[in-house]
Order: sequence, then structure tokens, then C-alpha cells
Amino acid sequence: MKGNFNNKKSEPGGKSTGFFENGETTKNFNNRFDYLMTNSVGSNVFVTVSSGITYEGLLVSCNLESQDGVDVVLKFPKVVNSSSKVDGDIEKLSNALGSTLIINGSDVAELELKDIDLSLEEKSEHSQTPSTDGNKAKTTSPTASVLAAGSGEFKTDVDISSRKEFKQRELERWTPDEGSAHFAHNAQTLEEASSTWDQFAVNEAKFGVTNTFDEHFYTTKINKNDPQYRQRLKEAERIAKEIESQGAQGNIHLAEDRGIIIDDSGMDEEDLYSGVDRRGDELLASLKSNAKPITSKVNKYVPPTLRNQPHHMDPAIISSTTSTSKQMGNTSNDVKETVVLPPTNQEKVAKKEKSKHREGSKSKISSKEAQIEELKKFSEKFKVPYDVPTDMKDIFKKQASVTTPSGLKTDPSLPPKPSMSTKANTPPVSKSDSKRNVGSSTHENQSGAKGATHSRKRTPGSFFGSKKPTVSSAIKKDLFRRSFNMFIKAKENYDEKMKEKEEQESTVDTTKKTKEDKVMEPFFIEKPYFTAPTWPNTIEKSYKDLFPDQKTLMQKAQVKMQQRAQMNQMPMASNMNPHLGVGMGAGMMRFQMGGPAPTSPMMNAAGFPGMYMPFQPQPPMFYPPMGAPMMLPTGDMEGAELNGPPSQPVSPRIPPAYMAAAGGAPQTSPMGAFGYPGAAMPFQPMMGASNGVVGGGMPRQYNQHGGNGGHHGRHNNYNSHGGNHHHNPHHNNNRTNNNN
Amino acid sequence: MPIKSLETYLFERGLVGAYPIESLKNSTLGIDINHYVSRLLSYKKEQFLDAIGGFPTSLKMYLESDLKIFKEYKITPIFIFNGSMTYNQLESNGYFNASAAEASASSNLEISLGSGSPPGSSTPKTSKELLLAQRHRGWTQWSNLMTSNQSSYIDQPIQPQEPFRYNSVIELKRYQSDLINYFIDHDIVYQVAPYCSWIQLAYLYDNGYIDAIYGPTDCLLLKNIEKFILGMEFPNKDFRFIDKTKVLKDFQCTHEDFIDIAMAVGNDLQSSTLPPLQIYPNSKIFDIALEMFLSTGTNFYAYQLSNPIKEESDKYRQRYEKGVSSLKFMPVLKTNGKVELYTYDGDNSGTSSINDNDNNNNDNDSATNIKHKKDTVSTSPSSSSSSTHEIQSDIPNDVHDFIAQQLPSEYYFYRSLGLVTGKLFDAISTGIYPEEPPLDGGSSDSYRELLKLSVDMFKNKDINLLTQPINRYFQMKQIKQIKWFSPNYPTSLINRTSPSLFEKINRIIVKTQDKEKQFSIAELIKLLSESSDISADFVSEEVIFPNSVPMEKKLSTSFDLLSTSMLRVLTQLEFFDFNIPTKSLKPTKLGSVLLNLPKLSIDDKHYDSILLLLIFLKTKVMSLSEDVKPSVRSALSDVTLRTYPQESQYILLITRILTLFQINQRPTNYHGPIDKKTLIFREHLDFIRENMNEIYEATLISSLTANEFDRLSLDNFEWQSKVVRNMPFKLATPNTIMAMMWEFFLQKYLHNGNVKTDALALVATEFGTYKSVPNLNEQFEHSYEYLMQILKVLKELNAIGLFDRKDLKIVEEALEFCSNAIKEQEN
Repeated sequence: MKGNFNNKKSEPGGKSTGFFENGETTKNFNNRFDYLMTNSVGSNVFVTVSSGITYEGLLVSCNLESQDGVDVVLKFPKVVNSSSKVDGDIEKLSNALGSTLIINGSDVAELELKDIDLSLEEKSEHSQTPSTDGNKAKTTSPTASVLAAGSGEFKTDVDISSRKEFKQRELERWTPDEGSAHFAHNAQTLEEASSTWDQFAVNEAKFGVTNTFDEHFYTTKINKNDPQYRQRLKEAERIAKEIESQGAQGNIHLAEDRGIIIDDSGMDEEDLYSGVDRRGDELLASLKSNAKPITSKVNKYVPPTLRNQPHHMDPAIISSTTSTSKQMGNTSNDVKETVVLPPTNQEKVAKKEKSKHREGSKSKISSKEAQIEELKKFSEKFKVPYDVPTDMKDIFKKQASVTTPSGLKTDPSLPPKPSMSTKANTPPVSKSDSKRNVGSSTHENQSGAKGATHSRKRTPGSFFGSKKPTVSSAIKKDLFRRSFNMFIKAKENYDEKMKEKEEQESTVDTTKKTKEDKVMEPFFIEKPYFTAPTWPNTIEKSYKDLFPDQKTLMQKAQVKMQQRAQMNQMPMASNMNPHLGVGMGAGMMRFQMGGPAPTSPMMNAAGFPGMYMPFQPQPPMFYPPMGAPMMLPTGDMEGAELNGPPSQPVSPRIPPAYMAAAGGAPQTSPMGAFGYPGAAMPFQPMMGASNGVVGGGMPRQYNQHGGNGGHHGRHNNYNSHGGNHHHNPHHNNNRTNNNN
Repeated sequence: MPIKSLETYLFERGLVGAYPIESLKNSTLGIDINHYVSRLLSYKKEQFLDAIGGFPTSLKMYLESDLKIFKEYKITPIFIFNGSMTYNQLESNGYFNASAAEASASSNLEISLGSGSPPGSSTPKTSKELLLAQRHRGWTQWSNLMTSNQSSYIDQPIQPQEPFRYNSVIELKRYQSDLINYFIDHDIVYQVAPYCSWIQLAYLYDNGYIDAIYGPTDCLLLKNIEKFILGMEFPNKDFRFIDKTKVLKDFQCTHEDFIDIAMAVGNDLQSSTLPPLQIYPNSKIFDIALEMFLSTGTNFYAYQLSNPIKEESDKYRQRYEKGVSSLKFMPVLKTNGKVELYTYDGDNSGTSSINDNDNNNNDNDSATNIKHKKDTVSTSPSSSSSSTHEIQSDIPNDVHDFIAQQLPSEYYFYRSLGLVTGKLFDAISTGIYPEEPPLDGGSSDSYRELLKLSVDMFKNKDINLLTQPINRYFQMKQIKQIKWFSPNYPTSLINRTSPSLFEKINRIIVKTQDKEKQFSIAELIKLLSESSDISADFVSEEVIFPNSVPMEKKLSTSFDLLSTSMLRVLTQLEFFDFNIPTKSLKPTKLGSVLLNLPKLSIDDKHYDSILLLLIFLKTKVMSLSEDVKPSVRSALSDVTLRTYPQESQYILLITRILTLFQINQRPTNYHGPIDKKTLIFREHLDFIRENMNEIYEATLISSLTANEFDRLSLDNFEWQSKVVRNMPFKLATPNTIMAMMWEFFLQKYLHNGNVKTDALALVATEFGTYKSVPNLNEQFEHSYEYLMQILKVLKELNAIGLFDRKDLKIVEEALEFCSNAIKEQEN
């Protein structure tokens, strides 16, 4: 084990290491490292120091807490380095070495740990072995071994439980014994074994154990002499048949229970015994695709209405709705195989009905016709996304010729209904049929819906969500060959027109003979001089007119602010605050907050819950920074320009007088520079009105903040302009407010 | 430029999600290449690029590895380049005064490195300003360094300390053609948008051409984009994306509010920061704007309106309005090949006329299927925001005010292929052809003289060729060349001549009908030189553009198309003399030199360089041996200059000729010596190359729009691979590395007792060639051969009196000196 440990002790969240994932991972790695070091105490290690000399020695101790690397203590150190050029030095060094060598962490360049035992079992076992040998006590009991060790020390659970031998022996290939050579290689399971195996007989022959087994200890004895025995047997057989003939519904677990051998090639253990069966939809589709000639389209088609439906993503729903009437009676059944089916006319009816149901549940989304159309498309284009084993194809073909396809399927919510075996050509029981159609509509809908969106494969990510690319990229690439080419497109367009024309005329021709009139207008590529320098427009207006004017804009902003305030449960009551200037001032502060450091110790803003309220909904403070930037000690140009000759610096201590002016009479001339000039006032009444409503709705908040909010605001404002430029707290507080 | 400071803010708030790249498997990914390259070449990379010129070679390295990953996951990337700039973008890029203000400010602009500057102390600077300032600073530092090391520097070249690029994004436009060639060679789909690349991506996404967008934060401004990819971490094989709904929810604002904030802080469509935000540090600006909005409901548009200072208010309000409007009405290249305004809730009555057209045209298109599918999905979310519909559906009558004047779709189509760079298109639509300072700052008299000459030699012709086929308005429109050093004295370009230029050249036609032949200048010259009677072979009896001319008589192969245009360009540049009445086409003196090249057994790959050199010599702004005025410090040491004045002269000549020789190097981030004097000369040649490219493009387009070529015979990919790929003068002029290698090699050779090995070793270490140039010796030999070939051409020129006898002598001596140095190994 090698590595440079100098940087090993990075604090979680620190950036000093090259390796950094997150605090948790770093911690894990540190723990591992500690574990490693602890385990290596007592073993022989090689330490290379920064001068290039390597020492070998017994690791006695190491300091894991040291900040720069790992301090190491070696017993019986030896210099083993050969890379150093001066041999004499090494000798000198070796002579100078005592029995203990302490190496400072910062000097350790490399620490090589060899043969470190990291498994507890092995390690303790090694230490145990000599002791057991010494006592010749052949006991494996932990307690005994503790006693046997005779050390008299107290052993912890770990010490004890870990004392078991773990030796790995060479693995050997199993070869059958001479005597058992008659076992066929392919008959290795009991079920497959050709000869019957009697365990009892073997036991008796080999070990002389006679069995006392009587199955009637466990089961009811069948009275074969009963007069009704034959009748009962018949009845039982009938029931059994009925159950078995239902097939496994595509459920592998069921199929296995019933002893049906299914083709499980291509399935892993999870598929077989653990995973949620998600093929229902695909099988459903396969039923349909069987009803029509299978199109060669490979791409999965997702009906548009079914995309973007998050509830179909829920695997729970899928499993609950998974159902197919796949028939498993035949031993060589394949996933593709379908049930037997009613005559085609019936199928159509069923289908229609089905789509009605579908439509009923989805009527909000689109019209019935569109739905039916979609479904038709769906059924045409869908193909089961399974790879069919090649040998299955023949079987499938054969069976397809025997069976009639059907669009029916069972209701997954109902217990499995008997379905027809492949051999049965009789029409299905109408009862179950109708029942199915009535009861299953919504479920069917869903199982069909999730359709292709859920393939069996687990996709590595879902960046595309339900809009997974449907057209292969090769095709798409080819689209660029002829699209975006005005010549080709114009020609195509022209050809089409000509074709249309020809068709029209040919119909006319039969009645009148106007063939001579048919003058083909030749195809020309549009001359470039037809293009005007201006772009085609639809309205005689300038783009500037498309922007809202100031008034509407502000109204909008007002409304938005109110909504926001309500949304955030901000007390609107503060609007009642007559001291406009306060809001004004607070607003200004807000704009100064843009300092580079968002974290500031001046978090006192939190102490003023009403602080931001006052200026939120009021028009003048939407645009206060006109005046505000000049407050910045950094001397902003913008502010300077606005307030007169740019060269004239504005004192940050101005405020009191000007605040009063702004607050007391917003409509006076100084105000004009800070708010919406002219536009500020008209909104005052409106705000007042809406405040009334809102305020009334929240009396409590009104009480809480109505008066005080203003006060705090002013207070704060005063502070900020009085020289304490703590802008940042506002920044922060603001954000938290909004996030609440 | 993305929305200012938003990206870091999104990361801070944890609003950026991550997925493994694998989840993009089998998808088609639309990539905004500006954004992509800005990620690849962060400011630490290619720091000396602007001091050596040329293509940023490391870009190819990154591209290659990224494309490999795309391939591994079967992701099809579609790269979208930016096209023209909108009014706001032009303004902020100093387009209207050719960056004059920025250039003049650059010399005294104190760049505050990083974001640590105190707020309020620095006025917001445009990226252009920063770029120019950093270059200026780089050169100042370098010459200071040279001065301070004057005494100690003998033959060990001095490495610059200051980068020439800092925090500025690489100007992709300069390398667009190189990238396009790369994409063509690697079978990658690309497209040049008519205007804004990320809005073009939105259109592509909307219509199902791509499955996801990899773009800048500006994509958040788009209504129809819910999720987009912000960054790809190829080494980790994952990517970062942004979910708009999540972001807006977290910001507690609506889409409209977000646009308002974005317009105020500055984004791609409106890049200046508006008051009251200008006083805050750039790195926090979005944060602050959002705070203002949340706490006081600030509407930044209303703020602009209420600004009491009229002048300022107007300025900012206009920028804001233009920004918002260009977001709403952005021209995009649509499926039908036309460039139309993209108003993304198109199912509205206002835009129905446009969309109807669209649908008609697409009926047969497989894309329509996708589109319909997508439509059904997207209708539900878009209908919920009906309140904004009236605004978006009505197209105002002055879109040209905030975008630019409209050009024919055919022009935009050529641009989408990369057939034209588009600078001339911009000149036509804006009325301004800006001449911005070159990499060296452009203080030399000869460069400025070249600018002046280029008006008559190239620009008037370009403009005439391009405005002739389009709307009459453009033929009358005044178009001015504005130079950065005297923005107030523009030169008017003349777009009208009578008869038009096209009429003068349209009988010159090269017709081989050879479908396999690939165009190159060498091939054409060979063809011409083999002809016994050029007039008979390459002058057509009648013009071939009218519709009445049958297709067989028109140009049908890419070789013919490109050759015809090339021959016409050469005629315009007086390599050939064309007499229309007598229909005689004769090479001039200069032309005969060109036609003689095959006899001189000049290597095919040097034809382009030689042509550029011939044109440079033709302008006579500076002879090869002449020093630049005002003088610039040479990279050679004072000792060298003093001790070996004659050899220094040789070195100067050789380096100049070698600026047209591209060393064959592996992709690297160049860190090594720099030489301003060589760069200045390179910029001269680069300027000529650019103008050659433009006149060639203009001639080609005039031929195409006139219907001389069967434009239906090629699909987009064929246009790209057969026409665009073979066009000359598109690639960036070589960088100065080979020239500098020779320079320092010879200097060392002089000082070190004429020992070649030592000199070569010096070059190898100084230029770090062990990783970039595997076989240095070979490169020296190749470049030596190139020098010898140039010598042959110069001799020819001298024979017809176009090259000074004295200069030729110096060149001959210089080459002998070189050959002594390089051949010495044999001893």
C-alpha cells in the first residue's frame, strides 16, 4: 500500500485535497485510512522520507491527528534505501540509528505498508493458532479457546467470535465419482433426472437407516374405495383443469408454481423471482399488433396524450394494472404468444368499446375521434419490444396460423378468468367478455397508456423524460441533407403542385378534351431580387409600440407585488404607513446592498420583521436607486450623473433633510428624481384601496406590523444613512423573507 | 455572450442537474458551437494564439476526442454556427465604428484581472475592448522584456510573460471556415444560422430535427425549451443540464420576469448592463437583479422609462426594446430553405400566413411527421400562456431596425452551407464594412495603405457583384468602409458601375464536364497553361445564365463552377486581360508568370501561397526587403543585428516568405517565442487572403444567383463536400511558427560557430517540438524546398520587371545562406 499521506487529513468541506467529494465521503475515507493505519501497527513498514531514504521497521505507533501528514514511530529501523548514491552515508546512518525511530509527519514522503491484514477474523485467528497448539486443546468453542489461551485477560465479543479459522483451499473442479458415472451430465437436477431417485432406499442401503415415513401423518388419506370416489376425482380434475387452463397470465411466478416450463432465457434472477413485472402493456400491445399485420416499424410509439403523464411513471400502478391474457398452457410458450380470440367483428366492437372507455376517462384532454385515431395508430405502430428468440419465431408463426388474434384482455383487477387454450377454436364465453369490457376500462387505459414509455430496460437516466427521441439519429441526420435547401424544397413544392394539377386536369380531360390547354409553367428558382430589404410584417406598428407604456407596466407591477406579498404572507398593512419616506428610504438601502459580500455580521435586520414591508408595494420605491447609488462610498457615476455635475461628490450624510422631503411630499419636485416621475402619484389611491381590503383581511398582521414596521424601517434607514453602511444584512434578510 | 453571471449563480443555487452522457444515447444533439468552443478553449488555453496567428490547433484535438465520445454513444451532433449579428450585437461589438473606440481605449485601459475589482471603480467593458487591451498589453510587455534583456540576449529567444488572450472568448468567426472544413472531412452535420445560433437551435428542436440543445444560458429565454444542456464533461462522461421550470420556480418569477431581468443584466441579444445594475460587480449581477425583483418588484423596463436623464433613458430603453424584440422576432433558416422570422407559438393567427406556407412546402417531408407529433405535445403548455400571444404574433413593420435588413433567402442559404463567410452580407445589410485592427495592432503604414488599395482592388467589385442580383434598394444603398484608425473618415464603396461587373465577366467560362475532378488553383492553372488558345477555350460565344439556355450548356460540375469563378477573379485582378467585343482573353505579364508555374515544376500545394504573394507584390505597398514603418523591434537580438547586419537582412526576407508556409504540427497549445515583426507581415498577407476570399465568394455567388449552374443537382451535403470544401482562400493563413523557427535557428547558427545541430536543438527546446513536431528536420527541409520554389517564381517576376533586381539578389544570397546552414549536417 502506497500513497502520499501528506494531505490526508483534509477537513470535510475543505479544498486542500486533490480528492474531494463531499464531507460525508471524505469522512468515510478518513475513517478507512485510520482503520488501515491502526491495523498496520505491529507490521513491518517501509517509510521513505523526503530526503529519499527509505527505512524499514516495525510500526509501533503513528499519530493520525497530526496536521501535516502522519507521524510515524518505528522500532528496529533499518535503512534499506539503495537509490541514494552515497553508500557511505547509508552506513553512517544505519549506525546512528537507535532501536526506535520517530519520523515527523512532514518528513514522510511515502509510507509503504506490506501484508496488512484487514480481515479481523484472519488476524485474530493467526494469533489464536499458536495458543491452541500449545494447549493441544482441540476445541472450537470460543469460550474454551479463551480459557485455553490462558492469558486470563478478558476477551471482548469480537475477540471471541472472530476466532474461527478461515482458510481458503484451492478450488478444484468437480468430477463425478466412478460409481456415479451413470448420471447424465445434463440431468443434474432432480426434476430432470431420467431415473427415479429413492432417497429412502439409498439411505437404507448406505447407512442402514430405515424410514418410518408415512404420508398419512401429514395428509388426508384418500379413500379410493369410496363409492363417490370416481365422481370426486372427476370433479377435482375438472377444477384443476380449469385453474391450469387459465394460464399464467404471463406471470412467471405463477407459471412456475404450476409447473409450466417457460422460456426463461434472457431473464435474470431478478426478472424471475424479484422484479416487478412490467410487461403488461407490451403484451397488451402485442395482442393488438397480432390483430393486424405487424408493421416493420421498430420505433416505439407513444400516444401523445399519454406522454407527460407522471402518474404512469409509478411502478406500483403498473404492477397493479399489469395484466395480459397470455396463455401459458403450451410448454414452449413465448412471451409473444397471445390468447385466443373472438371473431374479428367482435373484436372490432370490443375495441371500439374500449376506446370509448378510454375516451371517457380522458375526455378532458381530447376528443373521442382523435383518441380513436390515436389508438389505431398506436396499434398499428406498436411492436413488442422483446427480442424473440429465433427458434421461437417458427413456433409463433405456426400458432398464429391456428389462433385468431384478439383485442381482448382480462381485467387485471379481477381474478384470472379462464382463457381459451390455443387448441380451442370456439368463441369465448360472452359473459366474461362483457364483464371485462365493463369493468376494466380505466385500468386498461392505464396499462395501455404506460405502453412504450416503460420498457423493461432500466434506462440510465431520463433526461428526455417522456420525450425520448423517437426517430433514430441517422434518419435525423439525413433530414439535413435535403431540408433547409430552398432549391430542393421549391422544386418539391412545384412538383407537387404539378401533380395536383395534372390529377385535376386528368379528371377534367375525360369530359372535355383540353389537353392542349395544359401549359406547364416551367419551374424557376425564385430570383433573389424579389426579396425586399424589410422583413414581412403583419401589423403596421413599430416594435416599440408593442411594449406596454409606463402606466400599464406599473399597474402590472403593482398587482404583481401585491400577489407576491399575499403569497409570501407579507403584511400589507404596512401600506397604511403614512410615512412614505420611510419606505422610500428603506428602498434605497436595498439598492445599496449590492456589496460584494453577502454575508455580513450585521444581521440585525432579522430583528425588524416589518422592515421590508413598508416599501414593498408602494410605487416610489420601485425605482429608488436613482438617488440611492450616490450613497455608496465608492462614488458611483450613475448616481453622480443623476444628481448634477458628475464631478461633484455627494455626501453620504445628506439624508435627513432630503428624506423628509421625499417622505412628506412625494409629489414635490425632489421626489421626481427618485420615483417614477409623474407616474408615482396616480397609484397612491389605488394602493390605498387595495390595502384596505388586504389589511382588513389580516388584522393580526396589521397589529403586529402596522405601526412598528414603519418605525423600524425609519430607524434602520436612519442608521444606514447616518454613516453605518450595513447594507448587506438587508440583502440577506430579504432573501430569507422571500423564501419563506 | 450568455446571460451575465447567471451560470455561476445557477450552480450556486444547485439548479444544474447532471446525467451521464449515456442517457443521450442514440439522440441527435444540436450544439451551439460558440458556446461549445468557449468551453473547450477556456482562457488558459491558446494564450499566445493572437501573437502567432493561425488556427488554434488544440481545438482540433479537443474536437476529436469529443467526437469520439459522441460516436461511442451514437449521438449525432449537429453544430450550429452564429450568422449575422443583430443591431444590439453589432453595436456592442464595435461594428459601426470598426472598434475604433475600443482600439484607442485599449492602450490606456487598465484591465482589472479577474473579478476582484472593487465595484464601481470600473466601467463595464465590452469583450472587444478587453480583447484589444489584452493584446496591446501583451505586446507592450513583450517589448519591455526585450528592452530589459537587451544586454543579455544573444541567441536564446525570449519567451513572452504576458498572455495575449485573457478572459476573452476566441473569435470563432476567424476560424469558422477551418472548422467547417474539419466537419466536412469528418462527415459531421453543421449549419450556419442566419442570425442567432441558439434560436436556430430552438427552431430545430421545435421541429424535431434535434432531440436536445447544448447551448448557453440564453436558452432560458426561449419559451419552448424546457431543458437544455449547459455543459458536457467528457472526461467524466456526464453532462450538466438546466431545467427551466425548476429554475423559474426557484427564482419565483415568471418567464416574462426572467426575460426582463436577463435584458437588464445583459445577455447575448442585449449585452450591455443597464442601470441600476451597472454599479455592481459583474460576477454578482444576476443575483442582485433577481434580489431587486423579488424584494421590490422592480421591473427593469419601467426603470429605463423612468430614468430622468433623457438621453441615457433613450439609449438604454432602445437597447432593451431591441433585445426583447429580437428575441421575439428572430430570423431562422426554416425547413423550406427560407429565412423567416421565428415566433415560436406559431399556431397563432398573426403568423398563420407564414406557417401555412411552411406546411405546404413540407407536406411530403418526413420532418413534418415529426413536427406534428411534437406539435401535439407542445400545444398544451403553450396554450396556457395565452396572455402573451398578442404580442408575439404580430410582426411589427420595422424588424430591420433591431435585426438588420433582410437579404434574399438564397444568400442565407449559401451562408448556411459555409460557402460565404458573410462579412460582405453584413456590409450590404448594415451599410458598413468595418476594418478592425489586425492582430499586431495595425500601426504599420503599409498595412493602412493596403486597406486603402483594397477598396478599388476588391471591395467595390465585391459589392457590385453581390448587390446586382438583389433588390434595387441595395444597389443604391450607401455602403462605407470604416477604418478603426480614422472612423470619422469613411470611404464610400461604389456599388454601381455600368455595365455591371458581372456583365463584363460572364462570358468567361471553364467547362470540362469532368465530374470527378476536384478543384484547386493548381489544377486550373495547369488547365489554362495547357490550352493553346485561351480565348477560344474559355470564352463562351453567348452567356449561359438565361433560363432559355438548356441545362447542358450550363455549368454542371463543381470543378467547372469553381474554376469559372476563379478565372473570373483572376481576370478582375488583372492577371488576364479580357476584351469583350473581340472576345479575347489574354494573360497579362503577371498572368503569364502564373501560367508558367507548372513549367517551373512548382508543388501543387504552394500555388495558393504563390498567388497571394504575387498579389501582395502587385500592390507594391512594401517590398520584401523593406522594413515596416514605423519600425518595430525585431525578435533578433541587438547583438545579432549589430554583428551580422547582412545576415539579419537575409533572415528578415526568409521569415517573410515563410509566413505563407504552414508547419505540419500536431495539435498543441503553443507556448514559445513570438515575433511581432513577422506577425505584421503575416497580417498583410492575411488581409489579402481575406479579400481574395471575399472576391471569390462574391464572384461565385453572382454566378450561382444568375443561374449559370444547376443548383438542383446537389443536395446540402454535396454542396458542402464538393463546393465549399474545395473553395480556395478559406483557411486561416499559416501561423508564424515556421518562420520563427528559421529565424532563431539561423541566429543560433550564426552565434554558435555555424554548428547546425546545436541550432536545431535550440529550436527543438524553445518551440517544444518534441510533442508538436515529430520530425523537425523534415519540416526544415520541406520549408527549404518551398523557399527554393519561391525563388524560381521571383526570378520569373524579375524577368518581366515585376520584382526588383536588388531584392532578388538578396533573396538568392539569403537562400544560399540557408542552404549552407541546413546542409551542413553532411560534413
